[in-house]
Amino acid sequence: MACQLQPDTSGFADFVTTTGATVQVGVASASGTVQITGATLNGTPAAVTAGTVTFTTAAGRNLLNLALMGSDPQEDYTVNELCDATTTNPMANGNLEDGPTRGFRIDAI
Amino acid sequence: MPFKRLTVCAALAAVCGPLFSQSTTDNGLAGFRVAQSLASPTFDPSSLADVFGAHRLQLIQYLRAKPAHKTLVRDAAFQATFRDVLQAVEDARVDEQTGSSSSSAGSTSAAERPGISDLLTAAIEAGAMTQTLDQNVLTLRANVEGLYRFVTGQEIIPQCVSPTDTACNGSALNNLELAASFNVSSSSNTASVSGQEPASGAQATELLSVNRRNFASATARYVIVNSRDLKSKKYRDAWLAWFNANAATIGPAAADLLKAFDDIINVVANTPAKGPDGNPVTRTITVNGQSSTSPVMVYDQWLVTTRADLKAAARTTDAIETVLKQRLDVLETSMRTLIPDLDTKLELAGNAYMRYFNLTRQGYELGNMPMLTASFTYAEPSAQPKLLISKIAFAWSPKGKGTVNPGTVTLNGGVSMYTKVQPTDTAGKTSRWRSADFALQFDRPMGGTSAPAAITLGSYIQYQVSPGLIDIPAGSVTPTGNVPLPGNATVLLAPKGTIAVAHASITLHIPKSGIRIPIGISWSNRTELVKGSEVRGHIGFNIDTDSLALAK
Repeated sequence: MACQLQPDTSGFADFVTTTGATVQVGVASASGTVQITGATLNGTPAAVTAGTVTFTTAAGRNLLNLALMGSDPQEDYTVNELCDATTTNPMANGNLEDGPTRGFRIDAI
Repeated sequence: MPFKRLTVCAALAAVCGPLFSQSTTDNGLAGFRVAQSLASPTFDPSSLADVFGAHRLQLIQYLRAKPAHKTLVRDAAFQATFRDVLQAVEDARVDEQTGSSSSSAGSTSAAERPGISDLLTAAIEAGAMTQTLDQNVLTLRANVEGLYRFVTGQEIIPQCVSPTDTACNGSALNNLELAASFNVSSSSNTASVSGQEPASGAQATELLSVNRRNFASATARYVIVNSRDLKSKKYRDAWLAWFNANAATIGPAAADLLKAFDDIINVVANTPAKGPDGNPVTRTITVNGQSSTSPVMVYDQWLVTTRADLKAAARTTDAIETVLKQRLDVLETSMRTLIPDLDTKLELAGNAYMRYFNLTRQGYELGNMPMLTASFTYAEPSAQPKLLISKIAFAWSPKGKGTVNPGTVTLNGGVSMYTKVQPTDTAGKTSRWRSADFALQFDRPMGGTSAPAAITLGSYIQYQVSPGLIDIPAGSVTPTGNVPLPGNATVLLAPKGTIAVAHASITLHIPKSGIRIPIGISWSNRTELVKGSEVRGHIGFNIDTDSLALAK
């Protein structure tokens, strides 16, 4: 599966993609313990399976919000689009100290 | 006079004193940590603008601090930022040994704590607990694995991509710490000591003096049980087991948190912006060669402008905070227009966050597990024969409510021996064994979540198997009368006895700086070479790179 999300250089969204794209998102961290504990897509709960969230983009604005938790309160993490078994597309870096949730604006055409 | 040695360190503390008076930003922007971030030359101030993505909690906190909302704020705990509260977990740790041991010429703790550094720590301390001569002692500690990774240019903390990934597991060297102590007194210190010449039994008195800036000791410490290290495999395994066992509780709490935040954020992030003419603002998106027109949302427009304003602002805390506050107020106006019951929703978000955080910190409390460390020291105490010291340090924290460590009890047991066989009496007996020592200490962080101080109460007992030995430098004379000491004597037997020490101290901590300043007082019934009780003052200045890294 090719990577679906492209950074939006205009800054009006975080990423742009095509409508109907299937996107899988996961988290990597120094300890490997940072977990996605919950997710919503446009305000609707999205299933978290084995620490990843998979969703299909709808036309227009897609608001992906993640709740995170990890074993080290000061741990750095990277939210990745999981493109295939060996390819990841970094979406954002963060630290659990900055808060337990993270949001993304994805515009699909 | 021991207290004269406090002068240097007191001056050091005076330099640092103003840091204690630094007030946290009280305009609701504390969570953005502008001043700390600006310390990094690579920090991009425009990144602060992403308050719907990376800085949601800081936005909620800012809005809740506004006068319009303050009357609704009932949960004072939320006033602390998530980062501040979590930093308190590290700040409140009282199990890490940064200075020298109680048997050195300058120490600020009766017991040796079992925790080791992740990378480097440095401490300068004044005031001996058991040694007859007290000095200023500089102690440097380094984690072997952390130092090796640093020196070889590797990631100090390697990443794992999943809980089953082993790339981030520390090696055995991660539990090994090497330390060295040096006497760094600015002037020599002297004391008059009396002892018995082993061969003749003659009494002699010597004026001891110490050389400044000399090597004091080298120590290797290995943590046998290291479950308090948040990066240890044992702690991670325990945390993952806790996480899996509590998934049924964590999931709903996460869903509540997301819903509460979504109710505030999604409306503004999904409402099309209008231009001055009242028409929707649009833009063209191109993906894979296909283009389409899409609306620009209220938040998108605000974000682009805010990023530009922050980028253009002078790189000072005041300038950045002024722009940020101005732009957040603009966003708040839009939010209040689109969300008439914003204050109620902020309250719900605050409550949902506290429920989620209460769950989170249950996992962190797994870190308050027993810890066991073994150490081996080669020491060159002033005016005494060289020593080998082995010690076991054990720490345990009782369960307590809240994030902050409720206290740690530390126990030490150890033995010391001379590097060479030494005389033990005037009848010709010899032995390598010198003493056995035991210590008990209680450390407790004070001052709530910011943990600006910690109190320490400790006791130490040294049972002398053999009399203490006084090294006699060549050509030594008695302190009065300039009478040469026995010509063939190399050591004198000091009066034998058991040393008991009681110690109390307070450690001041500059939050997020890695700097700790212990100030204490001790009473001992005698010192290693001289009978008679002593009351001494102790002060130190410690820097821990772990906390410095966390304050990035």
